[in-house]
Amino acid sequence: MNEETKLTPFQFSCLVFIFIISSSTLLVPKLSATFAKQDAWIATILSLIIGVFIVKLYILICCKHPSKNLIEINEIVFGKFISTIISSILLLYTVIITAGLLRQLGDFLLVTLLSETPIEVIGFILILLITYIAFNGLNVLAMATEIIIPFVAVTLIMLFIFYIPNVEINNILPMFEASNGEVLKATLVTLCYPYLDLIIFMLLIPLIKKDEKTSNEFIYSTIIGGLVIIIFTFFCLTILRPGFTVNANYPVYVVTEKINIGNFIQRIEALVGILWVSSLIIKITICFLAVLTAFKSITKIKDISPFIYPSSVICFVLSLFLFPNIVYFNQETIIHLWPPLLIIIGFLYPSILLATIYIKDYLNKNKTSYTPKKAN
Amino acid sequence: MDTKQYVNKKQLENKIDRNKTILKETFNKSQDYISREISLGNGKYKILINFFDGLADSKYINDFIIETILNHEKHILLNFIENGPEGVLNVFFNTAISSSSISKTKSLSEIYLNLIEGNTVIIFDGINEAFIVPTPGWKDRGVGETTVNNVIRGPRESFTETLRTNTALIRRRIKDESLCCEQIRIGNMTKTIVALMYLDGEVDENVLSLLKERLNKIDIKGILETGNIEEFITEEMYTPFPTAFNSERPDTVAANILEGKVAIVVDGTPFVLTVPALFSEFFTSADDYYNKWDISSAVRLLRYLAFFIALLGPSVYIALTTFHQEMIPTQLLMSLAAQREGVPFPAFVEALIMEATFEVIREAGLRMPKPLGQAISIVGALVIGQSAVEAGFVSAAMVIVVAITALSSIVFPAYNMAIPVRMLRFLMMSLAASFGLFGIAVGLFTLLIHLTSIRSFGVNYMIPYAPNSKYLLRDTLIRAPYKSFNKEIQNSNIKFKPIVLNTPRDSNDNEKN
Repeated sequence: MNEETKLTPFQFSCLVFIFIISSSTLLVPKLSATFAKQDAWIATILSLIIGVFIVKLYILICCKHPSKNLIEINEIVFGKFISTIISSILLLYTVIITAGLLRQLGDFLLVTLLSETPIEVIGFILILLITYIAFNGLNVLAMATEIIIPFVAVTLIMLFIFYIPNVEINNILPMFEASNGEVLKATLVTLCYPYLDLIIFMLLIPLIKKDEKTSNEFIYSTIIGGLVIIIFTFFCLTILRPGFTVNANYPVYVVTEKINIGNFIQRIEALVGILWVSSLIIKITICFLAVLTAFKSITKIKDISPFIYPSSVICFVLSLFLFPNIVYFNQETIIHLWPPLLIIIGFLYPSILLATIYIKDYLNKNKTSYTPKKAN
Repeated sequence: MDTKQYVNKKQLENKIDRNKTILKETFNKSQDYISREISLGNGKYKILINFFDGLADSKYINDFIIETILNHEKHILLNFIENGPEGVLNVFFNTAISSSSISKTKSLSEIYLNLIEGNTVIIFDGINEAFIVPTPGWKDRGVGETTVNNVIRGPRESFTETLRTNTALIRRRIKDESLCCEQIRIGNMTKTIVALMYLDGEVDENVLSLLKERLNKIDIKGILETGNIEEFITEEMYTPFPTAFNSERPDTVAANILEGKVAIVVDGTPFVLTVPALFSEFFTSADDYYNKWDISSAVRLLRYLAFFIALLGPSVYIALTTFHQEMIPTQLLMSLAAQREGVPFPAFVEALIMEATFEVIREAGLRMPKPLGQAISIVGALVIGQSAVEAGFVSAAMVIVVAITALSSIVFPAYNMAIPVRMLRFLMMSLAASFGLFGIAVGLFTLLIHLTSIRSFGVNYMIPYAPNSKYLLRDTLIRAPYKSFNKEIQNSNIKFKPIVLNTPRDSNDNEKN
């Protein structure tokens, strides 16, 4: 991992944008519709608003200790013993999320593009590519993302335009029918997937060029990513109806299948598949780099490169054995297991961290304001 | 000139007969070495004239050296009697020989080098110093038309095999005192002169020092072409992509120098290297800057399209026909299926056969003697194209795909960018055959990561795509109109400003005009 040069704000926002849209666009429409039916789009809007505040929370923590990653901040704030425990949990979380995303991409490919290929082979190819990127480092990944981003943007805009003829507003019509509880549930679940995961970036943030722009870019790209998710959810609900959105494995994929412009542009879902494959590869690599950074910060090893291969093998094997099948993954893991975990790690833990930082600051300030008086 | 490493300690001696034997012994197996002894005043004083036949201009030697000596016989002898051998030297140095530059040397190795370069060495009796008169007169090819980097509009001149002509061609285009031309000799046997040309003050100092350091490290027998040093000076060994740009066009090289790059001119080849090379540079042709911006932009976009077709043409066909039939419109699918009915091979093998055949034809077309040209086109068009389909070896669609791919790979203005594309095409085909579009996506992603990770002289290869530079982006995928470049770029301190705006000085002049 070559960490000499730092990322530019634009590269950082590209990474955040891809991170947000990649797996979430596959998950969110289905998840939010499961709870809130035709009002799912309200849940996605609510979650974006809360998500922006959560990102603000992360930025506040990072501003308190610039050029330190989450684990180093932990050590400063909580002391060595407690921080090691918390950091190890964080490390485990990053490993599991890498494995989970790898599995998600494997499942996606299995269901949509390569129905006869064993998932082990797909996973192996993916992990090879991810290891190769990890050897080149975050900087190279960021540059590659920078090149991909125009293609992603053009594809997204093209898709949105192509979706429009199929829209049936009636499908989401009785509005506000879902109870507050249902919408809240949906909001919580949709909050988890793109926004609470962003805590991963707190592990990588020291690699990013410090700039007053960076924190703004973080928020802007979160908002743009969130808007993409809202639009996709809206199209899924209006084109597929809430019921089908819940039943389909990948509703966005099904929506794209329905595109038919003048009997010429049709069945372009494989193109969309490639879009998700490439953005998910970027997301998995970001998580994988977070695993390596976390490991490096906890153990204080200088050179991480000998650990890249073993870590990738661990992630690959975990992706195969943590989740028995796609149904378990989509029902159990995503809906019941990860949200509580993510709320603890992505929201409770940073809040406590920030509170502790403020309390410590307050105590220190009293001390320092007290000392000059003594001197006088 | 850095000749020190070849200098051995031996020097000329005072006695002319001794010097003559030393030279004779050195070149005793070379019959093109000519040594003419002139004795003046019935052997009172001797002068030795040495040169290589064919390299030195014998007419010049006859007219201006030997004839001068004979005409000045009395003068020389008079000086010899009055002032000794030193007097003779003065006569020669100051008046006798009409040449623009004369130099003196004592070192034998320098004498050898000068002889071999076509200069004439004059040795005097009683003096341990020799005169070197530049008399190069070997035959070289005149400045001809370009053969590789062709343009429709633009200068026709191309570099030649002579270093001096090449540096002059560049200097004639950049009439500024800040244009430097540093020379070093590389190659223990060939002692080839390598000239570095750059604009002092504009050039990227890191690149220049890195280049000099690497050039000084080269320790080989000989350099015959820029390709010989290209591998030594570029840092990326394991990449199929070229990280140094070569051109035979003086205007392209001059443009690159104006951008702040360094040109490496090697004696004996019409191809001049410029470093650092960027990926986007290989998609630009000189006449992009001579035609109108909208036309050039359209052509550039076409080239990038051709890049993807050349890279992915057959692999997308394979992926679509074997994995994703649903993406093909139904009627086309029917006709494809009908065509493929009689074909015994899977699409991948079919594509492999056709691609390999085409590469063979291409290589054959390149190497064959000129009179055989007709044969290749007949074989290519009739036998491989038509008959292969009729014989049921391959489907007609495959022939079309291969033909488009082949044409696309010829579109690149830089030939050495087409080679990695041709190679990687086969890799992509096998990925497509095993994983369909997913394989292509993985292949492209790997390629992208590879491209962003390589560097040319410390500069990221994918600049200005990544790290993104919005100023330079105007001269990449498209060529924006010149007027849109002005102010912002001048004020920014980016490297490699587009050639449209070379130096602040020039644009000020333009504004005044």
